[in-house]
Amino acid sequence: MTKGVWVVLAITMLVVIGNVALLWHVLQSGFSAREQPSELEVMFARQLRSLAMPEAQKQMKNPVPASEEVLAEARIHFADHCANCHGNDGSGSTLIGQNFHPRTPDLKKIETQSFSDGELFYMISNGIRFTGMPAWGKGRPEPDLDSWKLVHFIRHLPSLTSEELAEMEKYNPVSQVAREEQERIDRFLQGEVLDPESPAHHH
Amino acid sequence: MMKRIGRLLLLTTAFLPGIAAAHGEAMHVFGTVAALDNAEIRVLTIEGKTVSIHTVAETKYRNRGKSGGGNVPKVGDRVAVDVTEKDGKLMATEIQFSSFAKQQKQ
Repeated sequence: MTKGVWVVLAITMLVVIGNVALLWHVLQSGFSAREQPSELEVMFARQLRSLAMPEAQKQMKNPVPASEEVLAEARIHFADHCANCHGNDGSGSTLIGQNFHPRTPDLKKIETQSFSDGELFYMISNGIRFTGMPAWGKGRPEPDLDSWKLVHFIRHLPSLTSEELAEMEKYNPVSQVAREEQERIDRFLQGEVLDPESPAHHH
Repeated sequence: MMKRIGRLLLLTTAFLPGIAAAHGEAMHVFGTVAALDNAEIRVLTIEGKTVSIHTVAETKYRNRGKSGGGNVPKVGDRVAVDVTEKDGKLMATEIQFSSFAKQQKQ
């Protein structure tokens, strides 16, 4: 056999061994979302994500000039569409966000803030496979100004004020059950005596 | 077509209990602050039991009182603590509080 055939065989063997190892790992974890992804998975996924982004889109500049009005609009948009998973402050400390695989990242941290505007836009617009991030875009970057405005808001997250957070709470989607539970909490905090149903009250 | 619908129904049936169980893990503890420090809040619940709940850097605090007060509760304040159970311990994700005793005096 020639040297080329040996190389192909070696690569094929490596791919087969890799796939068997991956399958074994998946079967061991029971395909559960409970565990955090390993560092290897994170590195592999980030590389894939980066490779999958068209270079031209990564380099795109935000066509929407930053202004107070744009930030205010994006803030409300974020509270309404994104905060369920990301939290109003972008920390990802939400019930849903902390049960995803992988966990919803803290958007204030360098891992997110170091992305280019084009990369952030691409992720908002196209979503990220095998995570909970959906594709919010309209297919083409030019008319999707709402997502570009969100990019400005993500940049603003590290300096979000308590007043802005308080305003965002008014725009968070709330279910009927959650609304009733919050009303119950408010009544209790204002002095009402609640029926002691159980030590801990489920949502 | 029927086979496809059957598979969809099977998948839906398989996943729904998991979603319900995951949501069921979050709960509220109602009561009065008995003691607190940087790592824990002890709550005298409305059932008369004392419950220890761990607090972390990510724990959010919301003052819902109408008579001012600080950013964190004090001993004697009413609290509604949003908790999740992790490794057998109660972890506070959000603590809503008000100085109800203070309001009564005013």
